[in-house]
Amino acid sequence: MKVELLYAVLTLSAGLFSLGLLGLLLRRNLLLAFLSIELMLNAANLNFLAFSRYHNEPTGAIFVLFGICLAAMEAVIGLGLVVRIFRIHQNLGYTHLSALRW
Amino acid sequence: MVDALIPLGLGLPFIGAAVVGLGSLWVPSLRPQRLLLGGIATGIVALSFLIFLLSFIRYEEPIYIRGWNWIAIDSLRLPLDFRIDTLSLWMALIVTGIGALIHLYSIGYMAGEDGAWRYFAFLNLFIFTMLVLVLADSLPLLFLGWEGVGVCSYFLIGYWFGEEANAQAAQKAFIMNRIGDLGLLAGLIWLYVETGTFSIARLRDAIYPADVAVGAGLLLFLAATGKSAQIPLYTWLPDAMAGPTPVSALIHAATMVTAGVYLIARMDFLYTAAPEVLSLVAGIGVATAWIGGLVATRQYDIKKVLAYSTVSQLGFMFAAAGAGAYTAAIFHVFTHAFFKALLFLGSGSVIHATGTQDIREMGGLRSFMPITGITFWIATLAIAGIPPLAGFFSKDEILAALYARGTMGELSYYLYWAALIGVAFLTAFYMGRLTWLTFEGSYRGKAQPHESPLGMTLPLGVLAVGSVGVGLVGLPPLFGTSWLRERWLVQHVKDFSLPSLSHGTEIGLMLLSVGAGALGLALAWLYFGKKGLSADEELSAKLGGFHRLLNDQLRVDSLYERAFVQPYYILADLAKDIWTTWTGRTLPQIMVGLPTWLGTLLNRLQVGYLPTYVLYLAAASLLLLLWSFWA
Repeated sequence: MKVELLYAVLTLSAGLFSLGLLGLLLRRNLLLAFLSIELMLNAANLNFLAFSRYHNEPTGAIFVLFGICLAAMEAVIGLGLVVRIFRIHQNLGYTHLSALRW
Repeated sequence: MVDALIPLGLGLPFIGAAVVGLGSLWVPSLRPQRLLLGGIATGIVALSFLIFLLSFIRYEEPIYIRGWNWIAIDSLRLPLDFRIDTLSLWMALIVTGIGALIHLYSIGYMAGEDGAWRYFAFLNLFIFTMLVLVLADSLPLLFLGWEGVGVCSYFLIGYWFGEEANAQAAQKAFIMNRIGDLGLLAGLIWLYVETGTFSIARLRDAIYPADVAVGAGLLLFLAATGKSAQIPLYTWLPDAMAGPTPVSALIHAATMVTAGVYLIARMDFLYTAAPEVLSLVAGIGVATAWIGGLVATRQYDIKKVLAYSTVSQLGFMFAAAGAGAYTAAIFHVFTHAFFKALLFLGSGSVIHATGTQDIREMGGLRSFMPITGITFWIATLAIAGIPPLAGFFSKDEILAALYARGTMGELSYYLYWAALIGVAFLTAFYMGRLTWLTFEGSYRGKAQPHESPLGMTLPLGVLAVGSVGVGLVGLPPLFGTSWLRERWLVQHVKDFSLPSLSHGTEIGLMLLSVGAGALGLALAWLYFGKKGLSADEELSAKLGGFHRLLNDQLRVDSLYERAFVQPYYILADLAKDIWTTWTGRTLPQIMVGLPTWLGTLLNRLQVGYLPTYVLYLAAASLLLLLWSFWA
């Protein structure tokens, strides 16, 4: 893998991450926020993979496997929470969720 | 064949302790069986003695017994290895031989005691731990034995724990010994760090800087002063007389208290490499011998006299070790074990018969109890150094060694020698006083004294024969060669090479030491033999304050009380104040108050509006990113 390709992938990954972060900051919908988080996670995974290929080293790839696994678990718990919150509040906005505030 | 028996000889007393102790614990109906339990305990120690005797007769070369590793972490190994060589075998013979006799004696002495099962179990356990101490090759194992004898000593001093004074005496012995034990532990760790081995046999050939020999030698000597009752840690031994008299004979006279002398003889290479420490050892030994001898002259408790006599005789042994004559020290350990055990057992017989320990209420006892009386006289002559009894030979060898060291140009050793001649005189004097006041003259007590049973007089007889004869193993050069030094111990104990004295000097030295002993006895006879107790009262009146000082045992205890115990209490009070006010009140207030205050600052950040939290997240990520560029 050439270093130019690495830069390209890193730029793509940075773009994905920024999109995710912007989505998280700007949208007020739980489900979309959740999607944004997934986007950021996958940006990080892409980063790992790019370096793994560039250094010809399996550690990064294995890390990504863990990352995917983590994302799956997060999705299970997160979506479960989203469903519960929707049942209780009958909408997917999250700005009003402040019961645990001090 | 014989090699295979040695673990048995070592293990038997432990089995005995387990059988007698645990058996009685589980089956309470066994407890009153004093004859049975005492018989088992005695038989087992006697069997152990026979095994060691057999391996002594068949001895060819050192035997190693590899044990398991107590601790094995990485490269650190604490092996539990035994090594049976001439020195350790000799000590094992003393321990089991004298031990068996005292076990036998105890059966009679403990008649009418409910706790005899406890007593015999601990006595057997003591023999086991003492054997571990003397047969150990690795220093951690020696330390285990060292602590083991300390624990047994504690239990046996506090045998009559119903009285508070006895329990206090037991604690005192234990705590004073702990101070010394710390020295042993620090010393052996230091040696390990420098050489990488715990094995005594390997340490002998190990290479270490000279200042390590000095430092480790001092630390091990501190341990020896604790266990062997030397200045400054000797004060526990006189109090240890609170235990039953056979215990005093076995543990606090014949065997355990000689462990310090053994330790120094065992580590001979270390001390030979550190002459400064040797000189200190000799000085401490001589000073202790003087103090013990002086205090013994003005005590009225028969066991106190003997206790201070033991302190004084141990001083002799340390003086010998301090001259580099380790074999002479071990020789005195050997002869002293016989006559001091005999003296203590004799005093036990007297206490048994009269029900008191005060010699003012005794007198004329020889006509009531002839065997005790005669054997006590033999032991008195032996300890006074009258030839050809055992004490003469060993004491003479010590004095000759100190004098020979003096001729090498180390003049302080002349001083030590002269001082010990003085102690030889004192020894004869206080022993003469004790024996005349106890056994001669007319009876001053109220009880009806009677001779003790055969089980008690038999050990007295055997020990008396020993007190007369065992000196022959260490003949002075004038009469031949010392078998103990030249043939036996020399294989594994290397004395400091001392110049040999001419026959004329040797005869002169002998005459001086015998003369000092004879003079002491003669003076004791003039005072106490002719006039009895009234002479002692006259002497007390004449000495006045000095008598009271000696009678109060030089008030060292109250000195220690003021110098160490009181400051400790003050420190403890201070610590208590700190605990209640600072740790108990102020600190918790701070510990609660500080997080609460910090919390009030930080909980402003928790706005309860989730997009703000995402902003925090983004800001933090940005900060991290910037930091990674900057770093």
